[in-house]
Amino acid sequence: MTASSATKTQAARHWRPSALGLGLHRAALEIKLFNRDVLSLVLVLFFPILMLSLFGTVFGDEASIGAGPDGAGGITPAHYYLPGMLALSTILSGFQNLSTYVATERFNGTVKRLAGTPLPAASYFLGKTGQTLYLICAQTVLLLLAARFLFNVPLPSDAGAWLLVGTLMLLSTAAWATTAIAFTALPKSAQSASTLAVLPVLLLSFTSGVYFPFSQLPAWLQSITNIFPLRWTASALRSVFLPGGFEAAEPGGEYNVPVTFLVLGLWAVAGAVLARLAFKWPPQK
Amino acid sequence: MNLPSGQRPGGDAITVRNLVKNYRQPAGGTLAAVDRLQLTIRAGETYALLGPNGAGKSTTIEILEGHRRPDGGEVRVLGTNPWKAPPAFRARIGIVLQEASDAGELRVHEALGSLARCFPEPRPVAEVIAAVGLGGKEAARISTLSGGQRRRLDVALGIIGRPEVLFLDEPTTGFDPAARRQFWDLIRTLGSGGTTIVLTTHYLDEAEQLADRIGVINHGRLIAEGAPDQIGGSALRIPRVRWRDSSGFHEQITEHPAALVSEISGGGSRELPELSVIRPSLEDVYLQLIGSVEEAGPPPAEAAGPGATAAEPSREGVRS
Ligand SMILES: Nc1ncnc2c1ncn2[C@@H]1O[C@H](COP(=O)(O)OP(=O)(O)OP(=O)(O)O)[C@@H](O)[C@H]1O
Ligand SMILES: [Mg+2]
Repeated sequence: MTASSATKTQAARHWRPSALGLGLHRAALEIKLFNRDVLSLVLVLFFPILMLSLFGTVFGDEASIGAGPDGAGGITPAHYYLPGMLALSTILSGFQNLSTYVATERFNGTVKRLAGTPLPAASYFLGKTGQTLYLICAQTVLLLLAARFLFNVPLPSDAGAWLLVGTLMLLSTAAWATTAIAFTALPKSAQSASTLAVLPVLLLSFTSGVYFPFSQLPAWLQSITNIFPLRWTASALRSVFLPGGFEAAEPGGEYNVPVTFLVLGLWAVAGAVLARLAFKWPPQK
Repeated sequence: MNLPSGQRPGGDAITVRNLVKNYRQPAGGTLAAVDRLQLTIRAGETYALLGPNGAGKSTTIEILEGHRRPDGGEVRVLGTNPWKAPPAFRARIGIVLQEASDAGELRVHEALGSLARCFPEPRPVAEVIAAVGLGGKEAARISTLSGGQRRRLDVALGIIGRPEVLFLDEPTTGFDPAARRQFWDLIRTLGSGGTTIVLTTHYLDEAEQLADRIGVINHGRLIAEGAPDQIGGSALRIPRVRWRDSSGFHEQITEHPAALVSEISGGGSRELPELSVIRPSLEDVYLQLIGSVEEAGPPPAEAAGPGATAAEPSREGVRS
């Protein structure tokens, strides 16, 4: 230390780290790290494309879904499943991936290490937000490209439709992300965290109209699934990507986009409140 | 002692009054991991916390770091209560936890560079890597480091922010002997630069080498404190003379070992088998301190010798 360290120490008392600057740095680091984790990359980033390819292969590329008795007016399986796969991306990126990462970092000491430095908790979450945004954007773009160029799915051309898609994808991911942070307070080990994180994805993807039509579910199951965001995201996305007439297969015979936004907004806010209460910085013992 | 001008000379970097930390036990009931602990560590001092496994060292040090919330008492580190302290406080302390397994996928220089950004005046990454002897491993994934290399990285992460107070919880576990020496040099350099250092260790020679003062805790309480060559008081440090003669093995505790040797050897005219003069090492003193708490009976070292007890060792003359 030098003679000037008295003034330095004085300045140090009032020093504050830049939460935004550090958050952006964390985001860049998280993205770099995520790209290094090849297994997650493939599992999370390409899973919806794999599923779409599977449906395209298994059910063929005939325009058979929703066709009239004369065989006209139908769409291909890939076209039909595209909105569901987009909706699935939001729970994969927003919930499964994020909660696994955060839980791992809770148990391997990363959170403890960072909480021992001047890094603001907000910067840590900005980093996670950056990583999740990167993921959902990459997933969405890859899925749309695959749908368009591998499966010849016709995509909407007006800006309003894309604005709605963008908003739905971001809000759905945000709703799942805040829920994921709150959720990470539950598991007692990293192992149980990654197992537990798969459960909602598995259960909801089969009951939210992602893999088969929502209206085919029994009413009691529908009313349970109605509580969760996935079913609403899928329905609102179908309103954009499916041609007119398909709303007949929705409950009540119509897409309910306003209710979708209401449900997503409620989940995002409730998740944020719970996350604020449940996530400990420093992780307290 | 060489104090940085930013700290009040002779001021206290750390004060702990009646610190209590209880843990709930699975069987019900509570365990007082820290039990009305009193501790004062001066600015610029290197202080070693010793104690058996489970004594409460890590609990204490993590409370000082702000990682755990105390259940009672008063804690001040650099004049601040460390629990939920603002970033400006965290910028002034450095932490090396007892165990860390984070950041496995990062490279060494990435982990250090990333952490350095959190601090206002970080040390250069290359300088820190060299200081802990990780040269050549800058680009290695942390998960591929050996145990000792990983530990060195933990030390590097602890000092990257140029802390005024550095906490090290068993920093040298897994170090090879040369690395340990290198670490000692690093700590001495930091100490002479004015850094206040609090470390725990199970290596008594390490405490002896590094510490200005040592505190021994057991069952969450401070049971002895002092400079390495004074802790435990003079009663635990009286030299022993051991020898064998026709009547068997003898051990005598005496403050005048030369006189005793002269006396039993007939002024040096008679050689005695197995003759030795032993000054209790820090380890001997430590074991007696711990032993005298563990079992109320006489400490093992004394019990082995004929005639002498810990309470009232015979200081003069031959009684064999
Ligand atoms: N999170 C916890 N929950 C419950 N009990 C705990 C917890 N942390 C520590 N303890 C208990 O508190 C006591 C003190 O633990 P601590 O880790 O402070 O010991 P230590 O002196 O650091 O030991 P060591 O030399 O083995 O590191 C031990 O009996 C331990 O079992
Ligand atoms: Mg410990």
